[in-house]
Amino acid sequence: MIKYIVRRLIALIPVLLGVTLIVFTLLYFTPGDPALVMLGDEATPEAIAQIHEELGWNDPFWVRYFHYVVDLLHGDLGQSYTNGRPVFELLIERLPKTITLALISTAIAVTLGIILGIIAAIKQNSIFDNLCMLLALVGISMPHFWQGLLLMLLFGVKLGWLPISGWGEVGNVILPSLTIGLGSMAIIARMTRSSMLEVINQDYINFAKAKGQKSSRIITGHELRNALIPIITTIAIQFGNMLGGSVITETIFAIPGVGKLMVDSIRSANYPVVQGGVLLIACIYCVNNLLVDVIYAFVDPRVKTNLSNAR
Amino acid sequence: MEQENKITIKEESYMASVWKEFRKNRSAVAGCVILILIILLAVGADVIAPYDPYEQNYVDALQWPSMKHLFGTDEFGRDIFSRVLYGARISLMVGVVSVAISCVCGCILGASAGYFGNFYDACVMRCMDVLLAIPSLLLNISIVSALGSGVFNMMLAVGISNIPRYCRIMRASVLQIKSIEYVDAARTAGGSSRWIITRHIIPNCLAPIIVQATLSVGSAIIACAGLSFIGVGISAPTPEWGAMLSNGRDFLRGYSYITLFPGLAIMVTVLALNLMGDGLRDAFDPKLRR
Repeated sequence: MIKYIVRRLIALIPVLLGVTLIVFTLLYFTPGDPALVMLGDEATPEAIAQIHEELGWNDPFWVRYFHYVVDLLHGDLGQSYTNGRPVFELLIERLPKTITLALISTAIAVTLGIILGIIAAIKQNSIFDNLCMLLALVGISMPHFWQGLLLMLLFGVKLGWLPISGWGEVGNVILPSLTIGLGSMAIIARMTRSSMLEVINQDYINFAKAKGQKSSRIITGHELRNALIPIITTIAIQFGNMLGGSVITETIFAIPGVGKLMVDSIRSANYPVVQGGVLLIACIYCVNNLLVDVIYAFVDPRVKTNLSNAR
Repeated sequence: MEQENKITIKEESYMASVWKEFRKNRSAVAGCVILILIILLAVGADVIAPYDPYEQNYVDALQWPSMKHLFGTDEFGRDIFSRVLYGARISLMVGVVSVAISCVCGCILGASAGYFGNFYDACVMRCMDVLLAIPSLLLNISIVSALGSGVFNMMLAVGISNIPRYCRIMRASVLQIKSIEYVDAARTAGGSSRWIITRHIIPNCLAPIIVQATLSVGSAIIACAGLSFIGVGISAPTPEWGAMLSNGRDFLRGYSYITLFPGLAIMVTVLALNLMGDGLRDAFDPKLRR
C-alpha cells in the first residue's frame, strides 16, 4: 500500500511540472506590460526598462521558466503587482475560507445526494423516484451562479433570514455552501441511484433478505458499501469542481477567499496572483485525486487485493 | 408450400434501432422539441424580437414585465425579451463551436494515441493528465486572461479545457476496436494508418462521442455564461445570458426579473440538452434500453 502511494506521489511530479508549464506559458503570452501595472501609467521608459532588467523579464522563455520553477521549489510564487506582498502569503491567508466553503458544500452535497439517491433507488419507478430524478436533472441544468442569485434573493432579500455577503459568522456560510453544494448534490444523487440499482438485484442481497436481515442493515452494509466506488469517484470529482467553482461563488457572496482574490486580480491584471491561485488549487486537486485512490482500497477490498497482486 | 413457411426477418440498421429507441423515450423527445424551439427562436430572432437588443431607451428603463415588454427592461431601457432571444444565438453558437473544437481535437488525439500506442500514447495521455489536473473553470479563466476576452477566445478556452474528456473516451474505444477482425483485415489489405483510423475506427467509436458531445454543449453554455458572469468572457452591451445575469446582480433588490429570465433561458436550454443526451445514451447503449 505504501509502495503504491509513493508510486502515485512520484507520478504526480511530472503532472505538476506540466501544470506549471501551462500556467507559466499562459502568463508569458498574456498581452500588456506588467511593469506598467506595477509602476502606473505615468512610468518612464527608463523605469520600465529597469524593472524588466531587475526581474529578469528580458531573459528567454526557458530561462524564465527555469527560474520560475526554482523559485516555486523555494515556496516563492512571486509578488503581487498591486501591493508588492508575496503571492504565497496572500493565498495562504485566504485558503482556509475556500477550503471551509468547499468542505461544507461537500458535506451538504454528500449527505443529501446519497440519501436522495438511496431512496430513489429503493422506490424505483415510483413518483418519489421520478420527482427526485427530475429535481436532480434540474439541479444539474441550473448554472450555480444563477442558483446563488436566487437563494440570495429569497433568503437574503425577500425573507431577510440570512446575510447575503461577507464572512465570519455562521450565517455567512449557509447560502454560498448551498449554492455550490446543490448542483453537486444532484450529480451525487443520480450516481448513487444508478450505482445502487446495479447492486440491488444481486444474489447476495436476495440472500441477505432471505436470511431475515433488517432492511437498514442490508442498505448500509451490503447495497451502499458495494455501490460506493463510483459514488466516491463522483464525490472526489465534485470536491475538485467545488474548489474551482468557488471562484464564482466567492465573487457573488463577496467572500474573501482564493477565488475572489483571483477574480479581483484578473480585473487588475495582477497575473502572478492568478498564476499562484491556479497552481495552488491544481495542487490540491491532484492531492485530492490521489487521496481518493487510496480511499478506494479501504472501501473495496478487491482493489487492495489487486494492488497486493500487482506487487 | 415451402414459400408459405418462410419466416421473413426484417433487417434494421443500427442507427434505425437507435432512432426507434430514442423516439420511445418521452423525456428525450421533449428535450429535443424544446431544443428545436430554442433554435428556431434564435434563428428567427430578427423577426420575432420586438425591439433592437442594443437600443437604449431611458424613458422605459427598469420596467417590470408587461405586455409592452414581455420580460421587462434593464437599466438602459433595453427590452430583456429581445436580448434573451438574441442571447440564444450567442449561447448556442458558443456551446456548439466549443464542443466542436474539443470533439475534433480530442478525437484525433485519442484515436491516434489508442491506435499507435507506445511512446506517443504515453506522451498524449500525460498531456491530458496535466490538462485534467487544472479545474476546468480555472483553466478557462487562465486561457481567456492570456488570449483576451471575446467570443472566439472564450469558445477556444472552453474547447481546450474539454479536450481530455473526448481524448480519453476515444482512446478507450479505439483500444477496444483496434483488435477486432475487420481492422486486421483492413491492415492486411494494405490500408494506411490514416485510412484505417478515419474510415474504420472513428466511425465505429462515434456512439459515446455523440452522447458526450450532446451533454457537453449544455456544460459549455454554462461555462461560457460563467466566464461572462465574472467579467472575463463576453462583455456588455452584447446580449449574452451570463453577462445579462451579471448585470442584473446589481438590481437584485428591486428588479429581480432582470436576473430571472436570462437564468431561466440558460436552465431550459441546458435541461433540454441534458434530456436529449440522456435519451441518446440510453438509445445507444443496448444494456440501458428499456
